[in-house]
This record gives sequence, C-alpha cells and structure tokens, in this order.
Amino acid sequence: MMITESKIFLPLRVAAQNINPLLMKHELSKKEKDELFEKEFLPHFDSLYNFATYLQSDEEVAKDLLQETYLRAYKFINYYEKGTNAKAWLIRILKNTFINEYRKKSKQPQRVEFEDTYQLVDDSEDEMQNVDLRQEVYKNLVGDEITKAVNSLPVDYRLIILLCDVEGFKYDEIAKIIDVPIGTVRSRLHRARNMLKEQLKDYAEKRGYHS
Amino acid sequence: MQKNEVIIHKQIFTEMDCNEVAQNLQLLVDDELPDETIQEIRMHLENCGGCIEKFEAEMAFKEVLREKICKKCAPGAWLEDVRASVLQVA
Repeated sequence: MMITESKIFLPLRVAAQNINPLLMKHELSKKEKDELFEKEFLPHFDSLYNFATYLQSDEEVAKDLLQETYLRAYKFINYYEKGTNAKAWLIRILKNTFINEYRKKSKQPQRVEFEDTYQLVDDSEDEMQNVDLRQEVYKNLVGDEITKAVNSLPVDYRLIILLCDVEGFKYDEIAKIIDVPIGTVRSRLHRARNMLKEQLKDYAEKRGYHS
Repeated sequence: MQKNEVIIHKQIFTEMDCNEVAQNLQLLVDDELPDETIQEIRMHLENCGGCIEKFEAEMAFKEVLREKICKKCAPGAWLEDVRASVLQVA
C-alpha cells in the first residue's frame, strides 16, 4: 500500500493539535522542559491573562483557560522552537483552546450567531471605505469607554485588535496565530476598526462631542 | 493629469493619487508597506491636506487604542497556581 503524505503527517497533526504540524519535534529532558517553561513561557503570563480576560469576562473561567493553555503549552513543548516568538505561540494555543473548549460551551448562542454573520462578510475586500472620526473625538475618550467598545466586538474582531494594536504583532505573525491568510488579517482588522469607530462615535456623541 | 515623478538612486517613484493613498492608508499606519510605496505616498501627502488629515486621524486612532485599551495584570497568586499545577502534572 502506498503511504501518502497525509498519512505521514496526520498522526503528527493530531498529536500536535493546536501547534503547527510542520514544526520539528525536539527531544528534551524534564529539566530542559522545565527551564524552557520558566524562561520563555511564564514571562508572558500577564499578556496571556489580558487576552484570556478579553475573551472570557468571567474571572474563574479566564483562569481555567489560562491554566489549560499553559498545560497544553507544556505538553507540546517538544514542538516549540527555542528562542522563537513564545508569546505568539502561547496566544495561538490560548485562542485554539478557547475556540475548542469554551466557545462551544458558550451560554450565549445568540452571540455566536451574531459572530458568524460577521464572518460571512469578513473576507470581502470590496469595502475598504474608512469610517472617519476627527482626532479630537478620540482624545476625549477615556480608557473605560474604549475597553467597553472592544468588549462589544465579536470575538474574532476583538482578538485582531488586541493582536495588532495592543501587542503590536505584524500581519504575517497574526496570520499564523489565528490561521487565516494575510488578506483576511487586513480586511478583518479594517472592519474591526470601523466597528470600533462607530461604537466610539456613539459614546462621544452621548457626551456631547461631535464627529 | 500627469503624475509627479522623482528619481532616487536611479529608481523612478510615481506619486499616488488620493484614491490609491486611501487604499493603502491602513497598511501605512500599520507599517506594512515596502519603502518604495511609502515614498510614493509621501510624495502625495506633501501636496494634499485632505489626505494628510486622514492619515493623521488614523495614526491618532491607532495610538489611542494602544494607549487606552486597558491592560490588566494577573492577580499575584495566579502565576504561582498555574506554575504549580503545570509542573505537578508534567
């Protein structure tokens, strides 16, 4: 029987689940694994916590998500390329854990439907129209209003704003973290920012500023 | 209308128009463009108040998001809890 490529890669793909299946596996001792975990994974704890709480407003659930992320990261530590972008690697695991474990258990089915509706228009490159707001409008907004507006976005859009505008990842890095083509990163980010601007315009108008 | 051209290091750069700049604005703000394209946009921005205003507003928006999106730090004991649970299981 011929062994096809997919048969070679499939077990690795299954084993690695959330990790790029094409990455090399490294044999590491327990001591090396623990060291890697301490030196490269744990320093990103606050960033991961920040992501987890933006994905899950319930603190306890966010803690579970964080714990599960670090457990998986350790479990698949053999596939991590030492000295590369550990934060991106961890966020990728966090995002996949969230989607696999938590989103399907979500108590808000309406919200998922809402997100899916947005995803349908996600890839359309045709509307590169900008929502324009005057600079003064932004400057008068407070952190709470902006955080609230970010939290009101569907999760995929929330995630891309955090990755690009808070963490400063480049488009190619974001594409790898969320498993979409670079063109989708661009259009999703564009749409996310426009949705944010609309939301922030509402807040500003309520406070008496005009766009 | 003839577009402006400049030659830098033997390379010809053609000024973009307002529409082309608008299409590239997001990539410019996110620093995702090659130097040649940035040069072509810059040539236009030097002559167009409307596009400069849009560019500055986009930059200001990105800056506001970076500065004002709340960044929370994990409660002190959480890191120890997670470290202990992971290394215990491992």
